[in-house]
Amino acid sequence: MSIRLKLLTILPKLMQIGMMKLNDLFKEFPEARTRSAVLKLYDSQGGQIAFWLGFEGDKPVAKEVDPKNPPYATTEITMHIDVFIKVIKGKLDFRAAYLYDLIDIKSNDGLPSSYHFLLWSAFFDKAIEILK
Amino acid sequence: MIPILVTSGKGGTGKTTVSVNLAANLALRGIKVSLLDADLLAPNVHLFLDVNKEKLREAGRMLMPLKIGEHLEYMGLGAFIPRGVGVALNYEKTTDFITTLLKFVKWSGDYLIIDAPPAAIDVNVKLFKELRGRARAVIVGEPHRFAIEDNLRIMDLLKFYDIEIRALVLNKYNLYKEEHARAVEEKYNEEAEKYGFKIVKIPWDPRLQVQPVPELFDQLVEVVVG
Repeated sequence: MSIRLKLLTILPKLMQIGMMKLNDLFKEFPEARTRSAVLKLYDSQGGQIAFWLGFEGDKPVAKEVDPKNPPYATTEITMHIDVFIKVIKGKLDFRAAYLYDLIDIKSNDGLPSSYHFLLWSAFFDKAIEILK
Repeated sequence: MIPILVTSGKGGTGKTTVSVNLAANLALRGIKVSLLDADLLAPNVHLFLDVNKEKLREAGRMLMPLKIGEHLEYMGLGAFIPRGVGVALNYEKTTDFITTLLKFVKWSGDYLIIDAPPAAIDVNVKLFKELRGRARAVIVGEPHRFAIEDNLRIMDLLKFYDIEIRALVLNKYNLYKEEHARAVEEKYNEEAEKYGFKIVKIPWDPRLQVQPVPELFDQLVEVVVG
């Protein structure tokens, strides 16, 4: 199955976050307003997809971007689509996935990658809580 | 802030127990103390502090340590990762964590107690490099003759990185046969003279399994802080 088709299975839930709950998420994590992330997902056939998550002015934004040439973000989070689906469905803890070396986090703002990991862990917790 | 590295050449010698009790003893004296759990393989400090899964906060590109009472603060992976998950971090990620915990936490204590991972391996070397020339060390070992060799290696590395060894803790001293423990102590006496540290004996006490017993660590505090 292609990466985009796999994504379709969770797209409604992602939209639910994006359209209805994203503001609540950022209310809980105000510091996240100064951060942005490129979330890169890949499949075993070499397919890739990427989203940019962050703020444009006061507006929270989640949009698809070119995975090979994404816009700047303070963090890049990369994982296999199967890992992402498990995480977002609450079947695999985001922290555990990172500790198992299933998620790669790259820092673009001079802070250590593990710093971003700790912050985004809390963000994913909240996102999954909302999805439930 | 003066970093105090609690380290050893072997695992399971009681570094975490010593770290927590050292911190608790200092805090009871009204001294502001920070406690960093740098043992990424077995981050257990939070268990002694009764810290459950906590929400991480940051302020101005720094992570905020958790307040444990008036004079004690803590930061470590243990409070933020799921229980029972194995850690399979590569060297790059491991040393990156050490950097975060050392440099990107808003520590405010007069002393920073660091519970180090065991043995003279890469993660320790990262720690030693970061603390070069400005830290004090406490080596923790049981009075076992095999432990001497491993601790000699740690002593050599600490000297190499210009970290002052203040104390060698002979932990659970009373559990060993007296003549064996004494023979080990005599061997350490030679090293104590060479490196200029004191030997501090801490007895096994069943209370230490479940909670800090700071009063057992008065002598150690005097040696490390004095």
